[in-house]
Amino acid sequence: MTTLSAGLGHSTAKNANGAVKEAVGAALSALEGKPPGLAFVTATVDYDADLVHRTLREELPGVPIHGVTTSLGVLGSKGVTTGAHGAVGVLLLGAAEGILFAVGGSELGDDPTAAGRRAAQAVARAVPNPAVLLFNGSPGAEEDVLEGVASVLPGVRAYGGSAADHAIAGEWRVFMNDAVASNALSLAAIGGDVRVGCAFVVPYEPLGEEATVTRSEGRRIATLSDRPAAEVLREWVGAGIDDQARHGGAILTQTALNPLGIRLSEASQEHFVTLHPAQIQAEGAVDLFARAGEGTTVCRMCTTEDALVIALSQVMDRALADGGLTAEQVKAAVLIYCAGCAGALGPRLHDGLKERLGGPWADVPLLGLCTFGEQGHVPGVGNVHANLSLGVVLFGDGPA
Amino acid sequence: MTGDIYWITRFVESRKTAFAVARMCMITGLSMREFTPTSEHSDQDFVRVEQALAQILNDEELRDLDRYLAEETRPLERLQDPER
Repeated sequence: MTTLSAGLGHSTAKNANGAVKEAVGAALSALEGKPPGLAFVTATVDYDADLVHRTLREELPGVPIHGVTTSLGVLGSKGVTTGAHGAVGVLLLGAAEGILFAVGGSELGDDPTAAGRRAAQAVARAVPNPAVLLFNGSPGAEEDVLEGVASVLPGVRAYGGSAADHAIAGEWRVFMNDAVASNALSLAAIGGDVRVGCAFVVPYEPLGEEATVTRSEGRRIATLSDRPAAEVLREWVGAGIDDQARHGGAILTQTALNPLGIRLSEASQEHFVTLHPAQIQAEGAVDLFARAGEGTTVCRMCTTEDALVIALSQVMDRALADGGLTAEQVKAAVLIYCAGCAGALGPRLHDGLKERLGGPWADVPLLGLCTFGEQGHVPGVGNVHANLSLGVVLFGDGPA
Repeated sequence: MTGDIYWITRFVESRKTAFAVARMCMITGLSMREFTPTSEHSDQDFVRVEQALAQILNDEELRDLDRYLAEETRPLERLQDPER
């Protein structure tokens, strides 16, 4: 049987060049001479993304590159890695006969659906029946991009997270195989003799209140049940957004534990897509990081900091069950953790990662990102884009 | 105003962590590390930073920050050693 190998490296070195070399060196060392078949990279925007990519390409000639920038830091079983000059993480999956890897990238341009289609076509040529897709692109039109991917690879599960920066200032980047871009998709397909376990967890509960989106455009809700959306949100979230509800302003922090949700009625088990309200406009509209079309019923959701920590265990347990794996059988893992949740948790995230993933997962190469939107598969629905969610892909020895 | 955000960033970095600085960027929407000792910033930016500090630092740390700023923003010292 083919055996999957993997290696992980991190660095917070002073410059991007040195950081990538250090991280790649550590990851290669863990592969013990086996050639890498896929490089999943993430870095904070403190480093020059072009230099990160160029150095990675120099260090790993011919190896498919996939990844996005992360907010706040690089996550792992030892906590959050971040430094004054930046942080980079590299996960290498080893090439082996019978295991297939492919990457496809595309700039989104003015047709995100077509971009998704192009990237999916590129990977489908090399991996016609992927076990899983790693979906990482720029924030803004993930719903359309997923639609394009599904048109080429229907039924293939996709998990990932959107590129992020620290200040929500558009500084995020997507690492495609041969380029870096601010508005793009990178898609990685893994197939063949590999077992995957995946999970997509929404650590929020509905509180009972509901409203109907009566006027919206894209990711901006103008009215809820024919009232200004900001007015309804103020009632649900509380006095903490009084000022923003009157004059407009950012509400990310205040709504991270009190977001909106959409119940997916087609899901085979109850599932809510969480929507993170980001900004209130002066005229009372509310901007989200995901779409809520007119006629949609949105629910008031809530969570606690404890639940956001416990969700780290839940997502790993569900991924193990999904793949029929034990923790000892897992050779590598990718963790997607919403940056909004991470920001709300603050230093508790570092401790939570160590507490929840430091035991059985301590020796597993696990690369984690804080993202501005998460994508995952919901049984009965398909691949969805959501906010304030967690996703995990575990890789073990096949067959699937 | 000039330089305050630079010194605040330095304080948070040294007293807390680089993660705390990144979190301040997220809360304020400002790229905190891009501010230099001579960077101008608006009143509105400073209000955002003050609001973020209330989430990042405890009362004792806020008092220490006040003392640090009083010390670090002395013009003579800044001229002598801007990287101090």
